Formats: sequence, C-alpha cells, structure tokens
Amino acid sequence: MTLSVTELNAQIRGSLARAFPAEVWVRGEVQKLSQPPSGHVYFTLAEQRGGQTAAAMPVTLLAREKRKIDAELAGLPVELVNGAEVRIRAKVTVYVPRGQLQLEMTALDPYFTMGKIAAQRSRVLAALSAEGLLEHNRRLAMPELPMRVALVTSRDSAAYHDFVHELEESGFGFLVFSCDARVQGQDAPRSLAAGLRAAVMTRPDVIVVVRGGGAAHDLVAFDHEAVARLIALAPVPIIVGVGHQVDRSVADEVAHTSRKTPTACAQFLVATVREAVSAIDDRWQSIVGAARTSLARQERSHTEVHDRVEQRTRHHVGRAEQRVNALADALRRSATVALRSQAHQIDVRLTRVAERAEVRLERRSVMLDHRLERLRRAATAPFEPASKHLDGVDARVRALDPARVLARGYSITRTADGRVARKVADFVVGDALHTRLAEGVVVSRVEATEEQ
Amino acid sequence: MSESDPIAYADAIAELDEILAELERDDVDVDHLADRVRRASELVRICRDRISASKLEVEQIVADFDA
Repeated sequence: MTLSVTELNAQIRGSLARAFPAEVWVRGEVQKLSQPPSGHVYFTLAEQRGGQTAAAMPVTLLAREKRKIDAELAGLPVELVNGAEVRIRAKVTVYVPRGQLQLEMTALDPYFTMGKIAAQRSRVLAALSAEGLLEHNRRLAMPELPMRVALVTSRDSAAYHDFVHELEESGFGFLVFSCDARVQGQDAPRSLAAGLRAAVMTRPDVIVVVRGGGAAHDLVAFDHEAVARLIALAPVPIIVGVGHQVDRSVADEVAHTSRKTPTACAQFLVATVREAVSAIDDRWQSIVGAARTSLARQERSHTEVHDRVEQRTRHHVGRAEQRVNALADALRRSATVALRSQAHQIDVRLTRVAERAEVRLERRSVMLDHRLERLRRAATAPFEPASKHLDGVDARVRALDPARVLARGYSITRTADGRVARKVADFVVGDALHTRLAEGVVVSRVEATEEQ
Repeated sequence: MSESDPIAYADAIAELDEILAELERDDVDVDHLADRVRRASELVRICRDRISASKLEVEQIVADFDA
C-alpha cells in the first residue's frame, strides 16, 4: 500500500491526536519570533542547556488566538518576545503542507513568565550585590553641569525624539552624543551593551539610557546581567528611563538615577542645569552684594576717618581752650591769694598797732591809778591819829556794853520791882528773881540766901 | 568640557566662592575689589556660555555591534 504524502501526514496527525487527545502545557524559551502581515505569529520554543539548544519545537499562534491572548495579558508585564521564558498551552500536531511537527498555541501563562523574570532579576541583583556593584554608579557625584550627554537608545525612535525635544526646549546648549542601540528584541542585550561602551567613549558628563513608550513590556535587555554590569561600572552617572511599567528593571536598580520616561530623564537634566544656573546667579548676586557692601564699608570708613579727624580736632581745640581757661583761673586765683595775703599782712600790722596802742594806754591808765591812790593817801594821812583815838574810844565803849557782858555768860538779876540786885539782902526767901541772860529772861524763886 | 575652555565649571564655581569669601572680609582694598568683581563677572560669563550660548547639538555615534 502506497500512501500519498498528504495521506501520510494526515495519518501521522491522527496518531498524534490520539496520543495527545488534550492540549498540553509546555515551557521553554521563545526564539526566532516572527509576525508576518497575516497576523499569525511563529516562533520556536526551545530548551537551553549549558548554553546550547537541547530541544526545540516550532510554535504557531494563529491571529485569532493571539487576539485572545493579548486581551488576557493586557496590563501585565508579559509579552511574547524573543528570549522570554514562557509556559504555553498548545495542541501537538503536524502541519500537513510541510509535514512539520508543531505546537498550535492557544494560551500563555503570564505568571510563569513573570516568575521567571522576577527570578532572573533576583539572580542578577544578588550577583551584583555580592560584588558591591548595586550602589556603584549611584555613588558617583552627578556633575553640577551635565551638558555633555551620551544618549543610548534607538535612533529616531519616539524615545529619542521625546528626550532630544525636551532638551531642545530648555534652551540650554546641551551636546548630545546619540549612541544607537536596539532596546528590544533578540539583539537588545548585545546592542545595548555596545551602545553603552560607545557612550563611555564619548567622555560625557552623563549617560542616558531610554526606551520608547508604547505597550511593549520587553525589558529583557534591561534585566540582562552584562548590561547591568556596564551600567554599574560606568565612569559617569547613568540615568535610566525605560518605560511606564510598575516593576523596576535591574537597570533601574543599578543606575545612578531612574525616571519613568525619556522626557522625565531630560527634565531631570534640565532641572539640574537650571539649578546650576541659579547657583551661578546666586553667586553673582552675592559677589555684587559683597562688593557693594565692601565699597559701602570703605566709604563708611572714610567718613569715620573724617569724623574722627573732626572729632580729634574739636577735642584738641577744646583741651587747649580748657587749658587756657585753667591758666586764667589759676592766675586769677593766685592774684586773689596774693591780694588776700597783702590784706592779711596789713591786718596783722593793724592789729599789732592796735595792740601796742592798747598796751600803752593800759600803762598810762595804771600810772594814773597810782597817782590817784597816792593822792588819796596823801589826802587822808592827816586824819589818821584822830581816827585811831576814836577807834580806841569806840572799843572801850563797846566793851562796856551789857549785851557783850551777857554774851560772855554774865547775867543781870533784877528784883520784882525791877531793881538790879546787888546784895543778898535785897532778897528774902520766896522773892521772884528776874534773871536776864544774853537771850531772854528767866524768872525764878529764892529758896535761901547766904551772906558772904 | 572642550579643550578651549581654560577653566572647568566646578573650578569656576570654586573661584566664585573664593572671591565671595574674599569680598566678605573687612580688608579688601578698592583697587583689588574692582579686579575681583571683574574676574567674577568673567567667570559667570564663562559658566553661562557653557550652559546656554550654543544651541542643542547632536552628534551621531554608530556603535560597532559586530566588534
């Protein structure tokens, strides 16, 4: 029995359908992806082992299946691209016109791919971290004036134009070295690495790596270890702007600065330069201000000198005036003192004259007194003897005075009829005796009489 | 920085700061003051030129991918 090729292929297809009655899930790496105008997508699902392709299988994704898958992937960072690790659901079959064994893909598991991407990122980040490269580029100082910009991106892409347009709008004289590189697709890692090396060669102030917008989620090149290493070890700061995605690529992690879009990267540069401009303006203003202040200070110091000269002059004139006044005062004072001492001397003389005059007068007066005394004595002398005689008479007279006799203790006794008793016979017993003493009279009775 | 530029931007800024510090001292004489301000304005001009005198310029570099 001889089969036609069609019959053979059909039989094989039937056998496969019996062997694989249901669709199968297969995992592998997407390679040789092509998408002709028909809308169908063709690629090879390969299994890499030790850098070699150990096994491969052609995959066909019909346009209508692709639309379904695209709808399911909307908003997820997963895309059917070269290099992507995918898990697909497919029917194992034979393409009869070519007798080619193939998978007819009907679904894509996005979470498998996302897991693979995350795992890959983790692995690269861990490796860079172990070598201390994660912070390497970030530790470089961003130049104050990043005017020389090496731009690594696909020339004439939307990203390129967005970036260059933004710089142009600023009006600053940036110099951009455009280093063309593929940022998507199979070649991207190698092309990006070459672009980065070329960028370093231009000796720029800063390197910018950007990637266009759109819906593309292919960050394979930006998660690539070789690219990440180049970014980390670049001699100048690298600014990365690779799209709007939620998750960050390895390039974002190792770059000096990361922005979401090319425009944002350009704005960052413009802002940095603007800051430098304003810093220069500030310094200029400060210098102008300081110069003015300094001039004002000088002027002030001139004024101060002038003022001080004037002040000193006034001071000296004042002092001289004071000195003259003081001298005049002193003169006046000493003149007064001299006058006063003259006056005093005159006073002293006057006093002495007066004193002397007084002494003389005194003497004259004493002499006068003497003369008066002598005169008095001379006048009274002739009466002296008569006077003495009279004095004797007087004494005798006074000695006879009964009062004086009584005073000496004698008494006078009288009879009752008042006669002075001189004889005992004058009395008889019982007669009253009146005895006169110096002071008063005693009346007594005669008790006896005795003749002597 | 191109070779024709006699002074690097950072150096210019540093010199500006130096001049400023000098002018803020008390002992600047007037002749010197004028010199310093003139030099400062020159530095500012150099810095400004570097930033904005020229229009944006793009040089194309073709990376040799096959090397």
